[in-house]
Order: sequence, then C-alpha cells, then structure tokens
Amino acid sequence: MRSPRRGILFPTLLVAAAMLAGHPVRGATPVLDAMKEELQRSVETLSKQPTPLYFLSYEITETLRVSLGASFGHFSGSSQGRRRLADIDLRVGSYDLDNTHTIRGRFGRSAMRFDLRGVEVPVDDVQALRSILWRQTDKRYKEAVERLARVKADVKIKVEEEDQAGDFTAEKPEQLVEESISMAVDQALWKEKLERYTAPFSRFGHIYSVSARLSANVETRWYVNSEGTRIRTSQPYYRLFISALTKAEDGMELPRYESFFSFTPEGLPEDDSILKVVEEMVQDLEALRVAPVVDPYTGPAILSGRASAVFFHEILGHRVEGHRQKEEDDAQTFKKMVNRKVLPETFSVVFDPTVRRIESMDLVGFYRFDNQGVKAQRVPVIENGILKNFLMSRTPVEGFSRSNGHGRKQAGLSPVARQSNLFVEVSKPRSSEELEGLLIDLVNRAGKSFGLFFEDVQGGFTSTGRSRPNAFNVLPVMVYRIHSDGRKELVRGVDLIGTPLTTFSKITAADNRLGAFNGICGAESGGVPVAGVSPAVLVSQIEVQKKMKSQERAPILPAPWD
Amino acid sequence: MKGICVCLLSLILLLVGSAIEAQERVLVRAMKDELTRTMEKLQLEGMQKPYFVAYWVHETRTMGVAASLGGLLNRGESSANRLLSVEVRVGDHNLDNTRFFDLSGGGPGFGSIRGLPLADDYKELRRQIWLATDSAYKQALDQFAKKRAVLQNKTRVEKIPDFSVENPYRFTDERAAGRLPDAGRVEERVKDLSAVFKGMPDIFSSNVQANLRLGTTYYVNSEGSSFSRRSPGVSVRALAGTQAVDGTELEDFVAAYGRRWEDLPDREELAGQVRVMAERLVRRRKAEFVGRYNGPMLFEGQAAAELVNQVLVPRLLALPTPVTDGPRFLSFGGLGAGPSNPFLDKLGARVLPRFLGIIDDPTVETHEQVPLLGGYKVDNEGVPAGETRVVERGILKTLLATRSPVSGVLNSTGNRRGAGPAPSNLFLVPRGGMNQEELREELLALVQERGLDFGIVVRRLGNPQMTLSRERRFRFILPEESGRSNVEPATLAFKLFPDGREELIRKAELLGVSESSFREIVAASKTLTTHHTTYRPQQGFSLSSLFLPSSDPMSSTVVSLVVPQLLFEDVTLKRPSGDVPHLPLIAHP
Repeated sequence: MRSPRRGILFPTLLVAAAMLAGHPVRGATPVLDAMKEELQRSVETLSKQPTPLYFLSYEITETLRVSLGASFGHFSGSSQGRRRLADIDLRVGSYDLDNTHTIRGRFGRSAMRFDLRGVEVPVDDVQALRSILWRQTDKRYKEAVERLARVKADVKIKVEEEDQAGDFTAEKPEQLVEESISMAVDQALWKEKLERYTAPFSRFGHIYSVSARLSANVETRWYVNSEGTRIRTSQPYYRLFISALTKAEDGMELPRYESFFSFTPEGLPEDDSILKVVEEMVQDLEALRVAPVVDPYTGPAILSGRASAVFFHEILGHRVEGHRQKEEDDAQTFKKMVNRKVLPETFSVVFDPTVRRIESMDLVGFYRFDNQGVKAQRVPVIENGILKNFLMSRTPVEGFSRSNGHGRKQAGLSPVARQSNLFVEVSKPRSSEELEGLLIDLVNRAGKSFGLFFEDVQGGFTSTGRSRPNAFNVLPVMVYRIHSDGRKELVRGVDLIGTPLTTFSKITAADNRLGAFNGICGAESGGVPVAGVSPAVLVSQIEVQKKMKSQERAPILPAPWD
Repeated sequence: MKGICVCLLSLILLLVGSAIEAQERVLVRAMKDELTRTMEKLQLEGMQKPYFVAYWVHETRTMGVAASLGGLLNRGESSANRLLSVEVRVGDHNLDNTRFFDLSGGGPGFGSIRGLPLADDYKELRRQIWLATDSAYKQALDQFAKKRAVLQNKTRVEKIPDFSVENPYRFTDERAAGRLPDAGRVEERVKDLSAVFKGMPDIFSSNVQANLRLGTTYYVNSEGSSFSRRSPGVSVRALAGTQAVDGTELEDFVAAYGRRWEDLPDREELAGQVRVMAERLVRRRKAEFVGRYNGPMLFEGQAAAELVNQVLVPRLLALPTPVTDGPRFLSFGGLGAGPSNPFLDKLGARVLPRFLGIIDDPTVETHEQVPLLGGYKVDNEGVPAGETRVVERGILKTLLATRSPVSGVLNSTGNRRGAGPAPSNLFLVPRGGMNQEELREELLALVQERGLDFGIVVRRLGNPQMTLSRERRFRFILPEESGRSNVEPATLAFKLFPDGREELIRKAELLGVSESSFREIVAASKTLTTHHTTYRPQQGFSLSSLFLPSSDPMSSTVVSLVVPQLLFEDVTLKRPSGDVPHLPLIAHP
C-alpha cells in the first residue's frame, strides 16, 4: 500500500444524471450562506487561539445517482440514491509551513495519505448543516494544532527537504453561482434499451459475462473559504458502459469494453449506432478467441488516437502532477527537466479543463473550478517538445508558486494535483496511410517481420514512486500485427509496458485523426473524471510483455442448451 | 441389487416431485435442472466428481435513509436483485475441500457468486448457474488438492468429519413477499425522528438511520433438500454523542427492529424513547465518575442482554478449526474467534450456575407478547429449525452448530445464518429466580459483606455497532489487544447505596468479565426481558468472509435475547482510561 498504483483507469465508473430535482434554489443560496456564516464564526474564534487558524474552507458535494444494469438481454437491477459529503480544509501555521506538511518516515512519506474523512451533512436544513460543520471544525482544529507541533519537530529533526517551497499557495477569491441542475432518467426506457443492447450476446454460449450499465449522476458542489471564495456548481454526468468477456481455450480471459459519455442523456448515441458497436464487439470476441498469442516483443508500433491518449495519460500525465515533484518518495522524473526537450518538437501537450466538447464528443474532464476554489485553466505542459509547466493544486513546488486549477479529488478525500482533459497536439501531422508506411519502413529497417498496432485499450496504470520500478503498463484489448506487406492480423495476450523517459525518446510521428477516451482516474485523492484526446502516434520502439492470464480453464460442461 | 433399489427410489422421488415442480417457479426449475446435470456430468478428467452441491438464490430489495437534526444525510434504494451463490464439495463427508484455510483464498471464490437476471428466463438462468457451478467446482478441486497436500505431512489427532449428514428437508414459505414502504415516507419519518435532537445544544452530534430489506432465499441441494424462505427486516437506530463537562466522550443509542416497517413503534413512542435517551446523555455530562470499584454488580435489562451478547454468545457457537499449513493465520483479527473458543473443550462442564440454562429456539414467535425476531423455519443449509438446549442446569450440553461439525457436536443444530453459526432467539432461563426487590437486597447484602459503601447497578451497555465513531465501529477487524476490555463501556450505571438511593455514573469501563465470570452469577431475576441486537455470523477462517458479502447479503442477522437480570459477585468497574479531548472552543451555533 505504500506505493499506490496510480492512475489506474476504471473506464467503468461514474457518470451521469439524476432523477430528482436537486434543490429548487433560484438566486437564493441558503446553503452557501449558512456555510459562510459558520465559516466566519469559526475563523473569528480560531484565529484568536494561541495556535491561530490561517485558512479554512468547506466544500459540500451532493451526488444524486441512478444506475441501471442488464445482462444477456435481461434487466439485472437498479439503484438510486443521494448523498451529501462535507470536506473541511483547516490550516494552522502559515502558507510556508502548516499542519498539512508531510511528516517523513525513514524513507519519505510516513503514512498513507489516503484518508477518507468526509462527513455526511444535510443541505435541506441549514441549522442542521451548521451544527455538523461546527462540531467537525472544532475536531479538525484540535487535530491540526496537534499535527502542526509534530510537523515542526519533524522539520527540525530530519534532513533538509529537497523542495523548499511552502505548503499552500495564496489565491484570489472567486465567485460563481450556477443554477442547480435537475434531471430525470426515464428508467423504463433505459431498462428496455439496456436489455436490447445486451440481447445480441445471448446467442453465444462462450461469451461468459455481459453487462450494460447506465449510470447517471448529478454532482452539485458548494464551496466557501476564508479568502472570500464562494462557488456553487452543478454538473450532470451520463455514462453508458458495455462490457463482454470470453475465454480462449488456454484460459485467457478476453474482454471487450465500450463506453459512451455525455453531459446530457440526449447526448448519448442513438440505439442504431450502439447496436452496431455491439455487433462489432461480438465479432471481435469471436475473433479474439481464436487469435494467435504474441510473444514478448520489442519493435515499432502505432497507437491509435484513443490508445495514445491513455498512453500519454499514464506515462506523462501522472508525472507532471505538481505535488509529486516535492514528495520525497516520488521518482520526480520531470522535476529537473523544465525548459528541456522531452518530446519531438512537433509535439505539444496541453491540459485543458475548460474544454467541454470536441467534435461530437463531450469531455468528462471539463470543470469550471477545481476542488480548492481555483478557476480551471488551460495549462500547456509541453510546448513544441519542451517541458514548460506542471499541473498545480494549491500545493506549491519550487519555481511554481500558484495553482493552475488542477487541485482535484473525489468527495471525502483531500485534493492533490490531478489531470483534466489531456490534448496531444502535433504541428506537422501525417495522414494515416503515411504513418502506416513509416511503421513498415521501421519494421523493414529493423529486420523485423511485423510491427504492432494498438487499436483499443481498456486502461492502464503506472507507478511514480521510488520504491519500485518507475514503469507504466497499458492494457490493450485489440492489438494487430502489421506485416511488412501491410497485412493486418488480430493477436492477443500482451500488455504494453515501458519506462517513461526511454519511451518518450522513441515517439516519432503522429497522424491527423484524433481519438479520445473518457474515464475515471484513480489515485490518492480518489477517482476523478478525466479525458484524453490524441492523434495516432508512431513509436519507434515499444515493449510488450505477456498478459496476466487466468489459470482457469474454459467451462467443462457445454452450455446447458447445447 | 443395492444399485437397483437406489434407482427405483429416486424414480419415485422424481415422480412425486414432478407434480410439485410443475407449479414451481422457473427459477427453482433452472436451479434443480442444473443441479441434476452437475451431479451427473460435471467432472474434470482424472479428478473427483462433486459429492455435494448447493445453490442459494437471494432476491433482495433494500432501502436506507439517514438524517441528522431534521436534514437528510443520504438516501439509497435498490430495485430487486438476484444473487446466486454456489457451494460445491469434492471428496466425501469425512474429508472434503472445506474447512481449509490458506492465503491464496480460503473461502468461496468470486466466481461462484453471480448476479442473475430478474426475469424468469429459463435459458439465461441456466447459463449463469452453469458458469458459477463450473467456477465453484474448479475452486473446490484446487482447495481439496491443497488441503490433502498439507495433511500428508500430518497425523490427524481428532478425526472430525468435514460435513455432517442430515436428512433432506423441504420447506416452502407461504407468506407473501411483502412490499417496502414509499421511500419518501421513510425519509420523512427518519428526518422527523432526527429532529428530536434539535434545540439540544448539549448533544454535540447525532443521527438517525433506517434500513429496510425484503428478502427471499431459494435453496436446493443435491441431497434433495430445498426451501424458499422470506426474511424481511427493518431497523431504525438513533445515535447521539456529546462530551461531558471534563471532555469525556459519551454516546448512547436507541434501536428498534421489526420484520416490517409497520412493526416498528409508532412515531410518538419512538420519538419519546429518543428524547429519553438524549436527556439521559445530557444528565451524564455532569454526573460523577467512579474511580475504581471491585465488588458485586447487578445487570438489568439491556445491560444484561448486551453482556450475554458480547461475552457469552460468541462462545456458544461451534466454529471448526480449519486445516492450515501454519497456525499463524488463525489469530488474524476476528477470524480467531472460532479456533480459540474455550467452550469447545467445555462440553459437559459447568459454565453457568445450576439455576441457569440456555435455550436457542428459532421457532418461538413471541415472548410475553413481545415479537421475537431471530426466528426462522429452516436454516441456511436447509436444516429444519428447532429448539436447542445449549446449557442445562449450568452444564454445557452442546454448541450452536452448522453442518460443519466440531468435536462433540457432530450434527447441525439448524443455526447456520449467513456465513456461519449464529443464535436465533436465545433464552437465558433461570430456575426460580428473585423479584426486583429481592435482587437489590441481595446486592446490598453482598455490598455489606464486602464492607463497601455502595453497589453498582448497570442498566445499559454500549454496542460496538452503535457508535458515531468510525474508529470504534471498525475495531472488530483489529487483532484483540491484551488488556482491552472485551465489553463495551457502561452507558447507564448507578451507584446503589444501602438506603436505596441511586447515583448516576458518567461513564465506566468494565474489566475482567469473561465467559467464566458467568459461572459466578449469584442470582437472577424471575422475569425475563427481550432485547434485539444484530450479530455478524462468520465462517471463522475465511478471509473472504471479511471482504465479500457472505452468501446472504444481509450479513448481519437479528438475534433476540430473552434474559433475566443478572447479579455478579465480583466485577471490576473503573473510570475510562486514556486522555480526554478538550471541549469545543466555539459555542454551538
């Protein structure tokens, strides 16, 4: 647990909509007002204590959710609910050194940062809300005072820290009150749709599990802090997720996943296009079962736009998250590389949470304010191949003293710097045919008999710590061998692996066709929605390793109806 | 010749069965058909066939609402869902794949639990049952091979079978499935109840939770047992916490249980109970502590029931010791309860005074007009429910057992609930007994004999699941610390003076109460009172029982305890140890 696998993508998770009107507040903001009043009361008293408070924020997240599922043509159940969680960020000490400062163990971080401390609160009764905030603030203050004393001792006792930046950035107050969004999922309609989407799989005895799930959330957030920020945002998420799994004769489990995301229920694709995707899934599963297994291989490869977006998310994105540059147990791959070339000069990488939609696709990494009340900003991280910036929360890093609106978290956890919408931009794109031609050239020059094409991936993970190899792993679902004569052959059984700097130095060219993914990224501040957009990318050398394989045989008895 | 007889017999059973089956639900037909195919045909080449297979299908609907001070905290509802779980045994009754623990996965695997479609589609039901059975069978083979490998190097001193032989039994629950009330109504009720704490600034935190569940279990096994069983349940609990004037954290709760929403006490009654609890808590803030007390102690009402629940009940359960390649895993948190149970060696020994006995009886429906909620007609393994005399005249006769035997208890007592054994309706029955006055006099006589100034009467004890503190709630998964009291603190206790005067105690820890203390009970009351509490049955040695919802989604089951007041001769009580947090710095809003 000391080295959490960071950035695991769970393409399954979150999204979308709610059946009940959130809060019928128009113009009036009783929840924000109550939070503000209680905050002011606390600040007044606690800033006069011997160990004064210098910053306090309250964030309340209300999640309305509806979820429906079906399998093999039949409804398998639904659930719905609402929940309100309050997170309190209370700081004593100063912006330079406060109670949140890492207390180091022998080799760095002493304890897991993953602490789930959200408190359930009501929002329909402001008196009740204030009572709970009062009680929790008092508790947090006492903990903070105790911890600050330990922090001060730790700073004196241990070696000097590599990064001398302070603990918290000062930011300007922000104001925004969005209308609360209320929405309805037509459960009967969706039940019928999900049954229809999963029915085609039931023809096959060797498709062993199938699931289609509609998950609709509306997330409303209220945020106030002692610097004067006051925000209410309301964001719906709708996601349709379809998965199916078969097994090869050798026991290898072969999944296919498809997910669709939109900020509105109407934004999800029409039945016809979904059913077409389902048919493709069925055909792919059939083909995968009998596809040959690839042996470990190094050589050139093309990553489709979607695969490349995941690839950049894992190998680059997690390593430019600001707070990692100061954690003493993090490998800090890019810390000293600012203003140095890390990619070909035709490549730029930008994180932009202010983009809501690209072409016909909504991007789930869109937001207006991060979880620390800082306005979302476009952050060019790599410009023309040169590393320029990090994704910043309100935890400063040497040379980067302000947040750029990427302090994010799941309700109930503490925010850290996290990704938003990732864009890989290329100044001189090739056509897809040219890119494939380049691949075949590389194959021939290296004397290989084939290159690889990663068409689709299910996700990936990476480790950025020092205690284990700083590697990444992208989990492909659809991989093809591209033979030197241009022939494409579906294969199975490999994961794409590597280490960041080596792999980066092998990125060669990109085409002009964008692919994208919407997903949920998991790390120490929980699951946050992220997206990635990229053209297909040619890498002159990648490495694949054998996939973890189930040792369980295919079923012994035939399907009961065979 | 023998073979022919068996064939004839099963043919007759089939004929008799078919008439019933014609009316049976598609679900049960799919379960039975796949079971038959499994027993006939499922075999991996060169390996054993299953000798026993069982299927459970749980159909559940749940609803949960929580509120604080009149405002909603959360609300969740799930539609009906169906969960299949499969048990496959290979080997034979004496030695099979169960009762084995290794870290590679001791319990039911994830593959053997699957969701089922809600529609009665025979083909799709068969598909899921087939796949789950396949997975469970392969796991069973794997576990059996590992277990035999471990046993190769050992001589088994005690040859206890792994699985008891029981007669087939069939039961159909004729009751209707019932309905859950409208969620909006539940929400209003919970909010309303939570509003009782409004305007009580001396209560620092509080909440009210309601949980409702409709459940039906369908069971079939390869020995011919089958049942359907409804198990609806509702609970409402109100928790409140504050700090005493010195900062000591105080908590108390009110809990109400029933089978249906309508069974719960009405609005006024419940609100009244909550108010009384809150006022009690406020009074305790300024009450005195007792430094240290060693002497006689009377446990009344809820305190007596909780004491039995926390100390005695875990000892009454027959949890077999697993085979393992190293005993080191067995002390892992709550998993250690089974193997270390001292009562396993106490069959025939005196564990209570002669005037006390213990009966577990799931078939009793009320006690003095109070409904009992721990009952059922058939247990989770298809064993019919019946009375079990656990302790007679103070002598331990048996333990509450499932079909996994322990030394001296070779048959099930019909107490498999959820993943392991649990009591149902447990009666602690005194022979004779005193009335209230006599008991208090007896206590004071003992006090005088010891030269003490006062005696102690305990009316309420905390319950580990009824707390606002997250740390305390999850304490059960931590290894037992030595020196930690195994009983929750007394939340309502009094000094009783010789002149009959009672003086409230702020909070107190009880020390040194163990199962052997119960042998030293001096007296009990004539009258019995009923209390409901929840118990989380465990298999005793499966890691997965911690992480998986055990085969029954309602992994905590309700137990009804019917107990007299209990007078102990010697119990230690003291002021809670540890540092005390400061009082709030800011005034209540």
